[in-house]
Amino acid sequence: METIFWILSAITVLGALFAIMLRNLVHCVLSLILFFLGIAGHYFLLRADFLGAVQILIYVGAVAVLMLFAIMLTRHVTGDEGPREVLGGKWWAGMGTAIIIAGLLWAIIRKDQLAQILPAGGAQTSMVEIGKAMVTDWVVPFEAMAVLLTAALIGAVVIALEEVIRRR
Amino acid sequence: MNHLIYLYGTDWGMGQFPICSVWMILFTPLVAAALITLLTGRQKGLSAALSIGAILISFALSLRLFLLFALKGIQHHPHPIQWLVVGNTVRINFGMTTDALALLMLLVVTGVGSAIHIYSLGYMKGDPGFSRFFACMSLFTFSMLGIVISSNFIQIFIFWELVGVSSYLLIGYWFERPSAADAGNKAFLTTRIGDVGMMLGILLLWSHAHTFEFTELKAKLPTLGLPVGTLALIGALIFAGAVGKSAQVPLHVWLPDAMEGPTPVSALIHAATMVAAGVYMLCRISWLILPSQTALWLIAWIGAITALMAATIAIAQNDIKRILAYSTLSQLGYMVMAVGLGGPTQAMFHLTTHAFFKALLFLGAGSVIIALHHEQDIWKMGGLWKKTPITFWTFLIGTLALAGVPPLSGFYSKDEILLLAIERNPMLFVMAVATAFLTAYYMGREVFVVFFGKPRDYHAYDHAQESPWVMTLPLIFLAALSIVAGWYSKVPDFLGPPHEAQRHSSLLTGGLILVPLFGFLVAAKIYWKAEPSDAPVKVALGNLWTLVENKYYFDELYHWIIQYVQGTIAIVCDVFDRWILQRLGIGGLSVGTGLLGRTVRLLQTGSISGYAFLIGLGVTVIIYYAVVR
Amino acid sequence: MTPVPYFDVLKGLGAEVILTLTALVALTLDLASVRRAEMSVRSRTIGTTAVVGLLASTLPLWQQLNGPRMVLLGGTLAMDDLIIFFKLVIVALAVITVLISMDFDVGRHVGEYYAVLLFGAVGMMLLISAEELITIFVALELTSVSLYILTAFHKGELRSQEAAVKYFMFGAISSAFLLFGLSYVFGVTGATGLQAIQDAVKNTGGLAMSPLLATGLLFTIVGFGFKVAVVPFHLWAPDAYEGAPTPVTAYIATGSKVASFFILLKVLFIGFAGLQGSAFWGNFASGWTMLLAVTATLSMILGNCAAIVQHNVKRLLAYSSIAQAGYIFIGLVAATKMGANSVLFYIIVYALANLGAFGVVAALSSRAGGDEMQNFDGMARRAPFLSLLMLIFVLSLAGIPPLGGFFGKFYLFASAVQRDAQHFGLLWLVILGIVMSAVSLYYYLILLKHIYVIDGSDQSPIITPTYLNVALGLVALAVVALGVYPKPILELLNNFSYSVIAGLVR
Repeated sequence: METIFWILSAITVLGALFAIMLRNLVHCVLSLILFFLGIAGHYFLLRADFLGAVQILIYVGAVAVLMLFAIMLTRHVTGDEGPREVLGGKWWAGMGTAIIIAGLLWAIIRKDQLAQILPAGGAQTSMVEIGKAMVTDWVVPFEAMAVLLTAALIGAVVIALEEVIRRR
Repeated sequence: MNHLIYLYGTDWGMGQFPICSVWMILFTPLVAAALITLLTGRQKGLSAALSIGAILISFALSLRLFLLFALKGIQHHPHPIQWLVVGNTVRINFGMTTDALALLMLLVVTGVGSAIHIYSLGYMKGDPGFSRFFACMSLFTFSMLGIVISSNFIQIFIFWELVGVSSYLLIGYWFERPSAADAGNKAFLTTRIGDVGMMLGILLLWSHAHTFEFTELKAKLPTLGLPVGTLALIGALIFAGAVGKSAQVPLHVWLPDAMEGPTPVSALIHAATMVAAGVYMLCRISWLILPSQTALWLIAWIGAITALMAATIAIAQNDIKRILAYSTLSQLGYMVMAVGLGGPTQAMFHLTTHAFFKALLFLGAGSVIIALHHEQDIWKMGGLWKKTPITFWTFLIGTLALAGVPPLSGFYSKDEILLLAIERNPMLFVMAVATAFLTAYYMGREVFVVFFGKPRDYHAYDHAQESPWVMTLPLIFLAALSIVAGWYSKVPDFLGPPHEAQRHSSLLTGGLILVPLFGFLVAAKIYWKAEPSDAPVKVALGNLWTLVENKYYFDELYHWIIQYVQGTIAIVCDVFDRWILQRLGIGGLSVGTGLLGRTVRLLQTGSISGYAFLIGLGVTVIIYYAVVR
Repeated sequence: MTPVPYFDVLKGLGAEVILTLTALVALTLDLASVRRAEMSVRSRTIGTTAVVGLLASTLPLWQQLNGPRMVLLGGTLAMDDLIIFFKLVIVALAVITVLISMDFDVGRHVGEYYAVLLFGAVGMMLLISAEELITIFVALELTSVSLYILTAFHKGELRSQEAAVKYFMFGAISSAFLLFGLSYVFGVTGATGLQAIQDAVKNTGGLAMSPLLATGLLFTIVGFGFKVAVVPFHLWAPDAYEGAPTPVTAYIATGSKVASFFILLKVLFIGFAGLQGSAFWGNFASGWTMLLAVTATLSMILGNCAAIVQHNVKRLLAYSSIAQAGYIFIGLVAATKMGANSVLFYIIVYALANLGAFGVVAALSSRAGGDEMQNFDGMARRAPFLSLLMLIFVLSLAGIPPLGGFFGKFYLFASAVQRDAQHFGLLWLVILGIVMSAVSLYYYLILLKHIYVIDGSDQSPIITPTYLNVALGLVALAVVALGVYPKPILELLNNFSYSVIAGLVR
């Protein structure tokens, strides 16, 4: 188990890094897909089968493909704009933060006895259970999500519509 | 039913104390202010009538209460209205104090206020904002009366700030003049500094005693067993409020500038009533400061320093109103010193007499200013005593009373304070005597320069004429009060148990009579001539003259502090923000670049990452702290 | 599995349902019937629809008033008088915002604008009635997303777009922090309901400040810190406030703040009761009061000092609200019932005064040609009534009696002083608060000086619609009333007797 965890983590982190560092946008999206897959693998590892499946279906299958299409339709794929300064020359900042936080969190988790007494098995997450939970215990946030998506959709349409920019 | 009796007073006919009338004293001016603002803003005459009528009603009712108490000894303790109660600890009442102290102050405020309101009728004639002026005056009267009858700290603080607001409005009354607006701001801000301390003191006291009521606190204080240091701290903090409002050193700088307001305002607010509110408050809470030697010491010294310093500044001023303003500062210092010496009774006595003669002096100055068509420089006046006889004679009475010449009122009240000082603290006594001498000297200078000698501006002199009766009548009224107020020597007794000092130490009293006379003599020697000038004094004093002429450079110092210290902090804070924004690439709203490019750049250049780094670092530090501890 | 009380849930969500429907109606109405009409007619029609919907949404709320406290579905929906009262406050704020918007040019997507505004109100209401982490998060996102969209509505204006992007980016970061923190809290306690979390913390004594929980707590507070814009998580606020259309700024600064503070109070006082640590001078202990005390200090200093040098009125008010958030934190740091009451009281006063101030700015700036300080020169003669209202709002923000702001601040400071009074534990914070509120008077007076003293080049009178004057006048009246006679509201707040908070109060 442990080995699989590390391999998956490596895939995930590398995917994320490539997604923001590569020059070619298409390559970026492909890395992003890799990252999504890594996350899905983690879900499976945690025995959240449904979540893993959904991750693959929605993110890998739909979102990423949509992004690929969008990029290919709107941009010159090969036309590069020079090196991309992801961190604005402050890669040290990002790295430093990441390392410090990771180290600390690791230390905390190691030190914390609680981390060890957490149930290792994971919850029972069958689709039926999730489906039921959504319309029983979690019906309020579920409905709220529906409103949220509506609002977001309206917003997306409004913002995306072309309009003459009036400079101030 | 109880409620009704409560609202409408108990029984009018039986000579009982109608609570209702206390309410009416307080609220009549507020109603007038509201009516003027809402309804009669256009009709000037009606507005003035409302305002004046309101304060006259308040005056009549106050007088009635005062007489009932003074002659028949009828005193009631009206039940307060519960303003709000939250839990067990926050109880705030809207109460009415009607003890001797409050009654005396009510009388002073409404009495002097009435005279000044009537005077304003003449002074403000033809001013475009006539109605607004009277509305503000009524609002001020309401707030000031609110301070007087307050029965707890929160109530007094609320009215305290209201007084500040209405004073702000009145100083900045001629807001077309930038200097007036600036003076208003300065007064508001400076007094707020003192209020910061006052609020803190109130909260501290409450956190230990769990009540704001004066009577409860007074009873509770000895049982609380507060440490000496805490008590002194609370006393000093609350005193800070008085320092601001009563313009004591080092927060005195706003008062002279406040003279930008119309003269009746100077008379009412910045001489007779509002600035005295600090002293009144100290007397009201004397039970709090008397047990603490440290607090007393601080108060006495601040008072004495203010008294002497302001008196020295006054000798070198040229504006007829500013001289009086510094004189006010100096006399307020006297009162504060009296409180610090453990004599709130004496302080109140002096407050009362001072209200009469200082209001008189200001109104007299206003009369001169009007006669000369808004000329305030004393070196452009001269020889006016023939042209404006009533003004001159009343002004002279005020001057003599202020200087402490017997048998005018100032003599009695000042005498009390000096006697107290020699008994408690000889050092302060010396300073007080020096102040008394200077007082006579600068007032002599003002009178001689303004009313005697040859006219310096013949054009203005020729057109000068005595003010109309609405202005002279209040002068005469106040002059009469300035003369007789001290004779009723029971005033101090009325306020509390008589002071133990040898009041009849005739030798000392005799000596003290000489002080003001000596001051007048010196002033006469220098200034009682056809063409007086400051030159001899300038030569004699040398650099000292420059120092006092520039008011010890307080304004410059504060200006410097504000400019550099506070300005620097503000800019540092702003730059700090901008620095983070720009340094980390987040950027302010840089308008002008193309939207798309800009947005993309915003997303790409790692603007957020830099910020995330900072946050990450901060979070890390805190986690580390939380974990390791 | 116990049967789900769907009917109760529906009843509890009555107001939200009505608002959602109204939003959809507004959208359809705009598309179907008035799209071709004049801009002003469209705005008025849809705006009126929104107002009617908002008012209608109060009907179920009134009905539930004085009912028993109900907690449904593990805290995803709670109902008691305090919650209903604050939902009513949200409705009131939204109504005023709509009225301000009707007078303001919000671009050509009128229906969408009001629909999203109403969705935002739904989010705020859900937030207020939530006592469960997942619901809190979703509701917070609903609120935030609506506000991001509204910020971008000035489509013609570049700074509106930039503000939206910036607001969105920082909002996304804050959501990440929040979610991360909440997941840790869930991981440690195994619960998402606030009451359940409190019980879990209480039951396992050793749990009190485990590093894992500390991390979760910290990230949660950081997340909320972004939402309510306290230093050092405030960087988005000045730009977003300045760039957003002014009615939206008003909405961000009031409605969302009220809801966020309300829920932060609940999360801290219910969920994290027992983890407050100590912020007493010389006796610091890790816990949320200490964290809040630090952010409060920074907010008050930086917010007030940076406000002094601002030239844009909206930016000035933005910094002032950063400082105000600092004052509010003082009441939270007190961590007593009185502290909770004072916070609840103050956010109402603060929201009203701020809403009024932004409302006046919206009404005047669109007619005076901008929201820089100099656009307001001589405004007292051009629009005397609104200038007078501005005076009231600004003085209330500065804490001058007898306006609501004075009493609110006094109450906040009093609650902090009272805590550990013997050792002056929180006195340092109170001193800072009082001193800083004196400093704040300085920049408020600068603003008033522009309005009342300095003469502007343009002297033409400004006419504003009557409904707007009346609405803002009512807000001003409320600000005055809350200062002169705060008793009813205070008693109301006090009588809600939040038994859940009682676990914390000593």
